[in-house]
Amino acid sequence: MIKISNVSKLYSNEIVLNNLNFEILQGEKIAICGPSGSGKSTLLKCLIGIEDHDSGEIFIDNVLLDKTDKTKKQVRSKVSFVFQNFNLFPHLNVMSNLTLPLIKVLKLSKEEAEKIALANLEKVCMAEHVNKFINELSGGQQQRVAIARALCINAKIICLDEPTSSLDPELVKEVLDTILNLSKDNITVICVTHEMAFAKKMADKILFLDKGNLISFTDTDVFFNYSNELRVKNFLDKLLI
Amino acid sequence: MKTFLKLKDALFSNWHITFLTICSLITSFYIIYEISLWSIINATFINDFQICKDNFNIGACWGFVYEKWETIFYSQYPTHISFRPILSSLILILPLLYIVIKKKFDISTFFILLVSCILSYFIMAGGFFFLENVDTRYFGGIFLTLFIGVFSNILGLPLALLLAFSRNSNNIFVRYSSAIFVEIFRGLPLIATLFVFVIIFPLITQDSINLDMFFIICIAFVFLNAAYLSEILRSGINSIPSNQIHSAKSLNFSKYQIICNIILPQVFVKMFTPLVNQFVSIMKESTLVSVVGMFDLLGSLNLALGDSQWRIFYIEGIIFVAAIYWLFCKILLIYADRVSEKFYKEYRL
Repeated sequence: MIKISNVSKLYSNEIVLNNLNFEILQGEKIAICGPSGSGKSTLLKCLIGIEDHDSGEIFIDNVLLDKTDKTKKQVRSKVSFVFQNFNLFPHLNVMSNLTLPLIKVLKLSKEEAEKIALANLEKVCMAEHVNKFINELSGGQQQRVAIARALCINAKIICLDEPTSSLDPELVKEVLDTILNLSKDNITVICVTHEMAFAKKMADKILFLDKGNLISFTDTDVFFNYSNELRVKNFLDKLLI
Repeated sequence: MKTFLKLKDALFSNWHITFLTICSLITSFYIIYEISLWSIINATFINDFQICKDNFNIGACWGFVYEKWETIFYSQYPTHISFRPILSSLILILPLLYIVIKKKFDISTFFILLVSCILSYFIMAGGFFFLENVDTRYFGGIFLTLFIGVFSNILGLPLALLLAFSRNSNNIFVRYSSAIFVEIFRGLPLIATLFVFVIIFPLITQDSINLDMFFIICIAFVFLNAAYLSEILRSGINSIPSNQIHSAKSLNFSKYQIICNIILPQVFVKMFTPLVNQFVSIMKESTLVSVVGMFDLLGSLNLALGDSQWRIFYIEGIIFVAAIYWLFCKILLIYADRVSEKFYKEYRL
C-alpha cells in the first residue's frame, strides 16, 4: 500500500528525515510516535506531497510520488488528511466545509454531498451543529468536523496529525472508536500522536522516530513490552502510565 | 419618559456637565442660526444678477446655481443635445443605486457596472443611429466624475487581482513585472501620472494631434487605482494562513478552485472596508483631471465661474458641487456599511 525507500528531507542543511525505509500494508493502523521535533508531522506531510522530500522514493498504492501536480492529485485522491490545527475554512459553515470538496472535486450533486456529509457528521456526533460556523465551535468540535471531512472523501488511507491534542479525555475515546471503526472498511490509518495510551489502543504497529531516524517499526505489543532499542526504552521509562 | 430621564441625567447630572451642555447648546444654536440666515432666510433663489448683487453681503445667491447648472453638469457638451449627458449619468447612477439597495457584491455586480459604463460611453460619444458624433474632449461635468469613479474601479479591481496573485507567483518574470508595475504607480502622485501619460502616449502612437485625452486619463486612473487596490488585496491574500491552503490542496482542490472558493471569499470579506475606502478616494481624486484640460464637476464649476459677472458667487458654486461629491461618496459609504453587515451575517468574519 505505502512503500517508502531511502527517503530523506532537509530544512536548510538540518536533516529532518534521514534515509527512512518501511512499508505499510492495506488496512493496517500505524501510530507514528517520538519526541517533539523528530520529524513525525513532516513525514506525514511528505506522504501527500504538501512537503516535497529531497531524495528517495515514496510509493502510494503503486503510484510513485514525484513533484508533478498529476501524481500529487492521484495520491491525494487516495489519501485524506486531518491537520493538527484542523484547517477548516472559517468563511463556511460546517455543512459547506464538508460538501465543498465533494461538489467541487468529486463533482457530486448538492443533495448527494449533503447526504454523505450528514452521515459522516453523525459518525463523529456532530450532526446537530451542521449550520454553525467554525469559530462558533470548540476545539474538540472542530477536530471532529475535520475528521468527518476526511472521512467524506472515502479515501483508502487516512492520515491524522495529532488528532487528540485538543480533545478532552471523553472525546479521545470517541475519536478512538471512530478510527477503530474504519478498520471494518479496510482503511489504512496513519496517525501521529503524543498520547501513548491512545497509540497503544489504536495501533497495530508503532513507528518510532527520533531526530529523523527510524528507531523501531514493530507490532504494538512488542514495542511496549519487549523492545530492545535503548532509545525506545528511555522514552517509555519517562511515560507516566 | 424614560429616555427623557436618561437625557436629563446625561446632560444635567452635575454643575460642570450642565455648564458644558449650556455652552455647547449656545454655540451650536449660534452656528446653525448664522448658517441658515445666510443660506436660507436672506438667500436669493432667482437668477436675477441685480438682486443677487444687492444682497451680496447679506445672503447666499442660489440663483447662480440656477443660472449655471447646465455648465456645471454638462461642461462643454453641446447644449442642444444635453439629454445625452443626463441619460448617461442616469445609466451610471441607477445600477449603482440598485447594487446598494440589493447589497450586491459578486461577479454580476461587475458585469452590470461594466455594461452601464460601456453604454453610457456610447451614448455620450454617439456616431450611430440618429446620435451625432461628439468628440471625447467635450465630455465633462457630472458624467466625467461618475464615469471615472465607476470605470477605474470596475477595471481596476480585476487588474488588481491579477497583480496581487502574480506578485505571489513562483515565476520570477511574472512576479517582478507585477512588482515593478505596482511600485511605479504606487510611488507616483496622480497628477504626475496624468502628465506622464499625456506625454508618453503620443510618443508611442506617434500622433500628437488626435490625442484622445479622455482615453488616456481613463487608463491612467485604472492603472493607478489597480496598483493601490492590488496592495490591499495582497495583504488580504497574505493574511490567509498557509495551513488552509495546505488543507485545500490535500482535499485535491485545483489552484483555480482554491483561489475562487477559499481565498477570494475571505479576502473580499476581510478587505472590504479598505477596498471601499480606495473606491471613494479615487472618485474624489477625479477632480485632478482638470490639470490636463478635462473638466469634471469641479472643473466645470471653474468653467462656469469664467463668467466675470457671476464670478463673485463662487462660494455658492463650491457648496453646491461639494454637496454632489458628498452625495456620491455617501452612497458608496452606505454601500460599504450594508455589505459588511451582510458579510457578517453570512460569513461571521
